[in-house]
Amino acid sequence: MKNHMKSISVIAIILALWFLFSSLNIWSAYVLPSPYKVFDTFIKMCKSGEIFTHIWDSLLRVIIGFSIAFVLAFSLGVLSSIKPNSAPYYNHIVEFIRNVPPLSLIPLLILWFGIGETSKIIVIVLTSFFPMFLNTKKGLVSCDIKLLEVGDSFGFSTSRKFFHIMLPNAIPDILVGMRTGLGYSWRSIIGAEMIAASSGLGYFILDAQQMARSDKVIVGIIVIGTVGYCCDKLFSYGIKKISHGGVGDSWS
Amino acid sequence: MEVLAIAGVKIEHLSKSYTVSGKILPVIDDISLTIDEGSITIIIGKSGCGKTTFLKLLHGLEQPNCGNILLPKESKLGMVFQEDRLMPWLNTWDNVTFSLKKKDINKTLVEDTIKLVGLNGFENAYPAQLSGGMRQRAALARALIYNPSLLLMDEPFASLDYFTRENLQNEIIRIHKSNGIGIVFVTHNIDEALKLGQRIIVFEAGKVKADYDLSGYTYVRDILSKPLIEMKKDILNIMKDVSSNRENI
Repeated sequence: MKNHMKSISVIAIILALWFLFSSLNIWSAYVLPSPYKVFDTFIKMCKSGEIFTHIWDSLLRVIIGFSIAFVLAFSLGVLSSIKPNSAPYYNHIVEFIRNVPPLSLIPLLILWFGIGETSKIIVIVLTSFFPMFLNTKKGLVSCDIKLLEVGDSFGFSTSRKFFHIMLPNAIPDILVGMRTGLGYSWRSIIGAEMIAASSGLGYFILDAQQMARSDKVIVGIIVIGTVGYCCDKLFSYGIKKISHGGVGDSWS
Repeated sequence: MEVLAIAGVKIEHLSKSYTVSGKILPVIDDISLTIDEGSITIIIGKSGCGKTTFLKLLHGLEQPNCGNILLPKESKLGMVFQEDRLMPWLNTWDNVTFSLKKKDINKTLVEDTIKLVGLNGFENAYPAQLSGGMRQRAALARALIYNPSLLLMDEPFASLDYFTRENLQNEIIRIHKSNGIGIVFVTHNIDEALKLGQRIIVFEAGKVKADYDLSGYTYVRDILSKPLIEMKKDILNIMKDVSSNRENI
């Protein structure tokens, strides 16, 4: 409760300062629209359903891109941990791509795939793949040899050891990778939509800027932050549920 | 490891060495002995004498450089490690039934085993919610539910306090009496060896230094009785002699 009060008080101070500076008319309404104006615009957009269309478009891209990235990252993470000899085939390529900012690929992606869904989904896949891949690999490789020896003592096969010891042991790391990957996806889709899109929150902000509607830009920023924050909270709630309702140290 | 129709375990000229920094370090050095079926055999010795390696070789978790381990036909070995090694993401029930496939779980047997080790009421608790002694009990139950013909125990109570250790030692005796399971128990604690063992084998530098038969002593034993104190002195002297010989070298 105390922490909630602390969080609310900081938000209240920011809002109060916003009210104060906008009412003092130090800057024009174009540079700093009043909170009232922003709230009014938000309500109008909610009523017209415009904001929900943009949220849904962005969210759908994130869901698709994130899912594809997870399947790829998990598969390669498993392969790299159970067949370390295969690493030379992909290690250098993976490291190369990891160091290329996905947004820098957008010109090429537009050229090859147009401004449709594909180019944006590829950007999400490239952005969220690495935290998930690296965490999956780390979780599987760092499995305690003493736990694996328990499996050996019961005569477990390699696959049974994988599914009953290595994989459950790696789940916290995999989930941390997924949470980070989800955050990255959300950030990258906004960037990609600002460059090449005809819908979504990134497009909405850029469009509002071109129309000189700062109030809409601020609405867009607040919505992006709120949706990202909610996604993260939902994910961390899921992690807590999976790891036994947060029983002490039950999955560390 | 060969499998023969014999009673107990027969070990012939068993040797194992490791290479450390380019040097060959013998850990088990030409050991030959037999371990009787259905008895409690104690392997005692100081740290680094090869006790744990011997147990791992016996179980097949490591392979010997040479020698044979002959096991009875259809023998099944269970192991309790020095640390509990419970799966932190599983509750007590799931940890105890860890070795079994879902279809092989006999609910009554699991309940009885959990009760046998005194963990009834804690079936849903996770390892992080259990004390050190309770975790070792869960590890013991996990090994027992596997229904081994021979239970190998590697200093399972080494990290426990005196009273918890005594409590669990009594439980080992109770379990042995109730189902006649054979146990090979590794320890460096002479009192523990005298309290539990029907046979005590003293290891030093990978060799058998002494072998005591305690089958004539019934449970519960008074380790402060004269014959057991004499035996303790004797074992201590053997271990001291070997230490001083080593220092002289």
